[in-house]
Amino acid sequence: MLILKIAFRNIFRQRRRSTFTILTMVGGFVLFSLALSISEGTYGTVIEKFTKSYTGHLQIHKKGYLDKPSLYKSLDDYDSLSREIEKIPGVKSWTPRVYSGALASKDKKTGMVRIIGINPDSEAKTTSVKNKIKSGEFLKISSDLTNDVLVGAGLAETLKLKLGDELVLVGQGADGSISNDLFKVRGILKGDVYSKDRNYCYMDLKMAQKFLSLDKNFQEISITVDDYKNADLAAKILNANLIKSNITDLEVLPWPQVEKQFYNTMVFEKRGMRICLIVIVIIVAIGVLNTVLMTILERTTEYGVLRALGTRPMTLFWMIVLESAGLAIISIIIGFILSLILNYWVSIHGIDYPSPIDIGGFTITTMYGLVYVGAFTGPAIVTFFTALFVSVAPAFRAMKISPVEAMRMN
Amino acid sequence: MSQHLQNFETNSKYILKTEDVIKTYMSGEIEVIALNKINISIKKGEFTAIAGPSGSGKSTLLNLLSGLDKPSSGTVFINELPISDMSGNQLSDFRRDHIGFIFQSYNLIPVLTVRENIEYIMLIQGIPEAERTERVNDVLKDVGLTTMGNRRPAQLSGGQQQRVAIARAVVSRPAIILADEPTANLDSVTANNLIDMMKSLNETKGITFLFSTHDQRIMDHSKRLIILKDGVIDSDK
Ligand SMILES: Nc1ncnc2c1ncn2[C@@H]1O[C@H](COP(=O)(O)OP(=O)(O)OP(=O)(O)O)[C@@H](O)[C@H]1O
Ligand SMILES: [Mg+2]
Repeated sequence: MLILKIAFRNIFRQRRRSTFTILTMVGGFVLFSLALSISEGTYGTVIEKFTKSYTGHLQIHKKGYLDKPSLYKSLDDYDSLSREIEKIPGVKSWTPRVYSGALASKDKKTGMVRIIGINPDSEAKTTSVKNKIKSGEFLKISSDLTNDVLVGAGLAETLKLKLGDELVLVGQGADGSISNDLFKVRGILKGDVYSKDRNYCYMDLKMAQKFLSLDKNFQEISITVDDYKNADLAAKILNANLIKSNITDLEVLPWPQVEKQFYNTMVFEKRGMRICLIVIVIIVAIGVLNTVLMTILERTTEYGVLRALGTRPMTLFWMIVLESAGLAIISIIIGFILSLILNYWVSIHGIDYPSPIDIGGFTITTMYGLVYVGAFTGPAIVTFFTALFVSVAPAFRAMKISPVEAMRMN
Repeated sequence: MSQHLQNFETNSKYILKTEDVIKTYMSGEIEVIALNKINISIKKGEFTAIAGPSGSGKSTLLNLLSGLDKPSSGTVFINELPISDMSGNQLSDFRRDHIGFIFQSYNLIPVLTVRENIEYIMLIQGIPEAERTERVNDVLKDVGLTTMGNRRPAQLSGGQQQRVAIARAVVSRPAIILADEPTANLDSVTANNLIDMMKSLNETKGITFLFSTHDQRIMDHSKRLIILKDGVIDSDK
């Protein structure tokens, strides 16, 4: 169609102006894409770090446990649950846990502790608890009962604990009995008196079950899958499978529901990013609008001639919109290639923040990009429709030009 | 196209006619009467010049006759049909199918080649490619630009550009070609050649021409001469 040809040739006619427009759009595309890439990459990193540090991607509890934790809301059949978990597509690892509060004392000093019974083997595969040890060693994998514990930095500080020190824990068992036992510090966790895990006290799952008279019971299974984004889906599948197997008193929750506060922080941070993106879009839109307007003013006579020769107003309208769309498509292609390279580079090398920033309790020093489809389709769609949108008003104007007036102008 | 335009070729005593056409412009607070009660009709096959001093209303009249502009009062008839009854698209289509234009400043589309400029109207008319090519070749021969088909307008002289404009105007076989001072930008030799070319197209192909001019020699060439003065017809012979 000649209309297309005219539209296309008009792009090459004003090389400088078209180049300028294309640069604006390409710049917008690349910035937009990079912002998305870094946003996803950074939040992805934070979320991975966070979930990996302890929560996992999804968790199984007795219904209502998270709202009101209790020693009695426990799970019992680890093996059959494991068989269900195995069926989740993309599942990587899982680990059982026991929780309870207790009183710790050494010499004349006492403090509250949170006992966490873990399986050293599966815990190490599922989360990064093992990497949190500042001094000493992680719990030994053994089939025997050991009284080794890992203590939080706060607890170590209050009780003046050193590696190898002994401490007494006093707790209440599931059967109502008061239990006490002597434990030995095998490792001290990183952090300080403000850390979330300052008064944690990790011990072997079997030891915790015995100390709390829990028998084979435990409160939680934490699961990781291949990608945190699949947590929701995995939770749905597992929930459905449990119901199929007639297990109705358990619930599987993905990390956003387990860690609501953290999740909300992430959502909030992303929203901030969105404002940034809107600003980019507006800048690009103004740039494009400017060119399209200049183009139309300059070609008023020409449009008048086309109208005089019998071109329908709508045809003229499309000619102008198509020209803009053509510029957008060229820009999208260039923008895509540049973004792909840039995002890839940033995903490998990262960009250092001028000063470390804190997101959701994690200190981030370097931002990494994430190369994903949305970082290109998003900017492509926005660029294209912005160009179309911006050209509509000028095209409409051109369509309304009176041929006589237009031709008088020259 | 609708019925009246098909009748166009057959039953016309005249192609264009005006009835008491008045055109006024507001120039600030003052009302300028550009045309005052004009009554003319243009018949098929005529070769008519409209002359008159600057500001006498020549361009205004041509614009009204082509439907590019609307009269303040009175009626312009195309065939038997008043222009005021036509919609915007109908008027566009009417110009496309029945009126050829030649402008003072050529007004070729700069991004299109000579061939494409000439093809343009046939394209929006939906004429098949083979026929388009043939007609373009014929008309390029008529205006003596066979070798220039692939040039851009900017690569041609003024006279050559105006010949392309003539080719563009005749190629779609319009009922009438309206030309507003087609020779004003050309030297006298080129202008004479151009007038000869239009006249020969008029005589050999029966194309109707109506053009405005300042040029005495062109007036001498025309078969009919309408002289406008201050928006009224001073003489018509
Ligand atoms: N758009 C307009 N607004 C105001 N006045 C106009 C407009 N168009 C034409 N006129 C006035 O109408 C009158 C006729 O103008 P027109 O252009 O038809 O004259 P013309 O005979 O073609 O003159 P020329 O030989 O200089 O081309 C003039 O007085 C002109 O100033
Ligand atoms: Mg004039």
